[in-house]
Amino acid sequence: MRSKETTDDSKLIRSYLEFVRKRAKDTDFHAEEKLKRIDELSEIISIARRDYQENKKA
Amino acid sequence: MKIFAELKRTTKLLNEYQGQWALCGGVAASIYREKARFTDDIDFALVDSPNTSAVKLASKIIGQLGYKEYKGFVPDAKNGQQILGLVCARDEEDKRFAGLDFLLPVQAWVQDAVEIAQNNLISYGFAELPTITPECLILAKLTALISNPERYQDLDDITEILKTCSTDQEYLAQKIKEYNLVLTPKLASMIQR
Repeated sequence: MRSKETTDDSKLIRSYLEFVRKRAKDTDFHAEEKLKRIDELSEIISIARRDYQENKKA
Repeated sequence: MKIFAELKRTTKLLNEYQGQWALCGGVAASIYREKARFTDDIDFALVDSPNTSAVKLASKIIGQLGYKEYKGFVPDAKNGQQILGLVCARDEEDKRFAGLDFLLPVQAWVQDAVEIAQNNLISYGFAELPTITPECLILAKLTALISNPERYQDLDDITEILKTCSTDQEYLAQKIKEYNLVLTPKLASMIQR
């Protein structure tokens, strides 16, 4: 039973790795654009936080 | 320092330790979501190697970057006791600094995620980086969500990733079982599409 489970597990991993490699090759995740967008969002949020703090003090 | 520049700087140092790390967390979630979301830290999953442990590696990289190191604790899956789960870097002087979190292999998903990420190289413009897969990220987020159901950001990431990415449902189902993740009926129906 144990060896059947091990065989099934390695079959699952093999087929999953194949799926992962193919998806990574075939998909454009636009990672660079998204990283730059995170930086833009961070800039907007830090301005909003600063304004909020200044308004709170006033 | 901003996320893009910090990621470039940190991964340049991590490149020496191939196979031992993967990009994960909010940055990876943004990559898999249709639109990027705000995050102010960069998370890396680390595993031990025969040459250096994950903890030592995290400390070394943080030291090389010149940041102050902090330790973070997570509940042990076996007995709920707090154990060392992450090593973090924060720059108290620079409020624009993107924090770095190095997650240690004390949670069930980390080892698998790092191994599989070596087959999931994603181009970030300056380099191709081993990145946690959508399935492993969902498993990581499920783990976090089960330990704290108020982590709405994790729930939102899971929903968005499932909407945007093609996922291997068989692998997900198998690992949910293997990691003993007990899902609420709502979560289970979301995952088993």
